[in-house]
Amino acid sequence: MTEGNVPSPGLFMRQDCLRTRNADSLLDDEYFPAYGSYFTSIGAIAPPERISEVCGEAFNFFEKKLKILNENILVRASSADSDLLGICKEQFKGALEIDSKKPEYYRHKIGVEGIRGRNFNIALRNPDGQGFSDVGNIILLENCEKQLGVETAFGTTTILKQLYGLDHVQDCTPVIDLASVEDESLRRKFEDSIIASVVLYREGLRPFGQNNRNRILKQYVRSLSYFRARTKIDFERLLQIISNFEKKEFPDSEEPSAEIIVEFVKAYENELFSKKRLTNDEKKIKESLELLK
Amino acid sequence: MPTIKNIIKPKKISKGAHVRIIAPSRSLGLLSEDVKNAAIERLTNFGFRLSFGKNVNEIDEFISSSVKSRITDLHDAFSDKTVDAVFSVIGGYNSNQLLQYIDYELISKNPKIICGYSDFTALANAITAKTGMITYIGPHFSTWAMQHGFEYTQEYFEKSCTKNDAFDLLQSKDWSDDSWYLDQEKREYISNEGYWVLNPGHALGRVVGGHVRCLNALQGTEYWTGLDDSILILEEDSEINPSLFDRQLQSIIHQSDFGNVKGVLIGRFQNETKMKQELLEKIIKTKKELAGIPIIANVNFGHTTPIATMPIGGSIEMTASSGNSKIRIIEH
Repeated sequence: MTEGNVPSPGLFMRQDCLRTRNADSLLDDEYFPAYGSYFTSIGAIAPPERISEVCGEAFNFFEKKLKILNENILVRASSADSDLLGICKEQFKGALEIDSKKPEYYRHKIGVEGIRGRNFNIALRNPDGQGFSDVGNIILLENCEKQLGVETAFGTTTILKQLYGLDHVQDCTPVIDLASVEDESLRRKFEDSIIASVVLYREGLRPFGQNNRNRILKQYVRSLSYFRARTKIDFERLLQIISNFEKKEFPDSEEPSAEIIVEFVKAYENELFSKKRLTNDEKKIKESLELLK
Repeated sequence: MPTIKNIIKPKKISKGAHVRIIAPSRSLGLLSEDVKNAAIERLTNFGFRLSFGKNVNEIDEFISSSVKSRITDLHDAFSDKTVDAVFSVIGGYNSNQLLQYIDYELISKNPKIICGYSDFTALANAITAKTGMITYIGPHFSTWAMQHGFEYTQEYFEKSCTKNDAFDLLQSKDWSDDSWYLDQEKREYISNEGYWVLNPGHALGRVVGGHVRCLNALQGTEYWTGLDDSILILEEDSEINPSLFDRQLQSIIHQSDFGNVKGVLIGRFQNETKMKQELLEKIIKTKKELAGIPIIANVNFGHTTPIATMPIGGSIEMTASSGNSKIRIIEH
């Protein structure tokens, strides 16, 4: 793609994604995770000259495949991107919201130097009829010389949430045994930690080490300690909760991870109680665990 | 710095599993017929179906065989879909000759348990470094010939290679350093004095190591697995003495990523090494890099018997505390 060699007509993509934004805030009792860390993204990448058709196909997906009424779809675009705006108007007869967001909302970073993305976003009406929530975007990728490709990316959990009127994206992959946790913020973060821990473990990551990805898993695993303490759940119950979730989401799995994740939670707690110098986060987890005893 | 691969866990084996015996170091021809037959009998009675690499009996002036022959047998074992696990015949000196010729992609696409110790350390750590697959430092094919005093070895092989559950590595009641293969009925057992806690502390990490000189032969190569987040397991045989062990340990400490070692487990030394707890303590105390790292020695792995099966690339939690130490194999 960086060479501008995207094959025509394009490639469909399905990617399991982890948005790490929640990881740093899991221990913040005031923080409510609007999105889950784990989601599946679907979309396509195509040569830039197909942008009109790609946009048409994307709108068709929502209007014809998912049968969403035109009035329940909103496109958010920037007036600075007159080319994208023109294509939107040509392919989509519904509402356009122009310049309603900050300029960076319409810009995309892909982590490759010299390549940028200009995007417009597609949002679906919220189940309560009030306002719209973004479900994905169409991005024109380019460098300073030429257009390189067009990418569409839609979050399946956000689409399902809007389609079925779910309270939260995590209800797409529910952790049923946590339904009785009354504090919703705590419940959502606990769910998020379980889902992310299982997914990352199954990817072969482990919650120790210098590697950034492993460190992220450790953040989720240590938060399991905090949440189990806050909800007064013992290891046996935690194992059952993770195990039930795993059986439901990965029914064909030959290698269940629940037991090992709980072993890592235990090891983390052993480390916490043997360590002399603790960070503020560690103190917070330790104090909550002490209340459990 | 080596990139630590995502973990691949080979499927556990059970009774009825097809085990391929290969000779990545010394030849099967080294073993007496008695030892060979006793190993076959025990493994068969355990429930394994055995087959042998086609070159295992090839034997040269080094009591080994050509690189090509050994590589062929290794690759055949991993490409044969009916094979569930691979055991080495015995140790030796030259399994590191194979490393540049191994098809690591073949192994990562056909993960299966591979087990052995001593010289096998080079192979085990290299495979884990290149593929992320957990490999096992545990009994050789030849070890299974032991008629008496094998229970602990078998129990911990089963815990590591036939079950998924985490387990505590307990100490054996006694141990032996005799040449059991020469006279199976005249065994000499020594009461286990327990762990030598050389530094207290708690650690969790991935398992790296095995026979120290074989491990050290990988330093600076692409087969070195790196020390980040590691629980180092170190053992030696009767060819070494305290000063030589010190030199080998110092060599590892000079690795630039040694600062990321989380803990150290040292296997039981053979009597001939003349290693004593006081000497080992002195060696450890002279190295400032080891201060603050939990260290437990006299653990049941190495060249005495019985031995536990240790998962290279797996995870260990260790608590080193006088009279209250614990080693837990979390992932294997």
